[in-house]
Amino acid sequence: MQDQPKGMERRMVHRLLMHWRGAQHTDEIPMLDDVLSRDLGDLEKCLYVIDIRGEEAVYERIGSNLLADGGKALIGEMISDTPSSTLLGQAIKYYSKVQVKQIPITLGGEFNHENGSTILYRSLIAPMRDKDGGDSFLLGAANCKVKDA
Amino acid sequence: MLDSVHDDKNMAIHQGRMLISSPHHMAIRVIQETYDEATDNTTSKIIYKEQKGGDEEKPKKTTSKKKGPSTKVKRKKRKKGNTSKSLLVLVLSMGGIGLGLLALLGLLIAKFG
Repeated sequence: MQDQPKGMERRMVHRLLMHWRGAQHTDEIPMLDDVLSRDLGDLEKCLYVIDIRGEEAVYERIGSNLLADGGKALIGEMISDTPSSTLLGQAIKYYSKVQVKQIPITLGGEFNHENGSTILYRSLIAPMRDKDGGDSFLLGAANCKVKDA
Repeated sequence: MLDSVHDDKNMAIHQGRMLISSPHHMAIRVIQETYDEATDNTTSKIIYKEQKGGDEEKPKKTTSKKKGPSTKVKRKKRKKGNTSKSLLVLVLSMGGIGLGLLALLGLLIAKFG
């Protein structure tokens, strides 16, 4: 019997990786549209898309769960403007590694939120192509829970 | 070929098993990298390995000066060694035929001068 990753956070990461692999035609990085057109269910609330075509990476899309955590004003903005003490700020920390390695990376941890609580989070960032075949986007996902005192 | 990087051992092994269960992959390795800040060394260890129709190997340890504590899933697409094995059999067969022909030629020369 296979080990199933335990916990909601890991399931989210696992499910998004399944969609990412499902959108691959062979071994190549899948197209963003091919992933986003899949039935992602409640994953969509946890997703964000970073456009890396310009000199500065900018947010193209931010899911509702992340919008609520100070992300609303960040759509179209540079990711360097993300407050570090938010879930999004923690989740994008390693985006440059994904850009270099061109493979999905998952990471979890804890941080002190700007509201004073300690947050446990899990996140994933995966490289994505556009229709022209360029490595143009990064697809990310993150969710969290407040750590019990 | 490196497939993905995870900070969670169970997640990495699970992903490895997912890959090997697909028809596209012949073998996978899950490698755990542990970074020691004090020595600036990274220790790599194979924590899971599976090959279709193959045998398991004992974990190996290697040490390098590379940073980055993580668990990686590596995948191999093709079985290596089949081609060389086939070539070896072919060469041996060709050698056998050649020796037979030489012996026949020697016999003919001996018999008919």
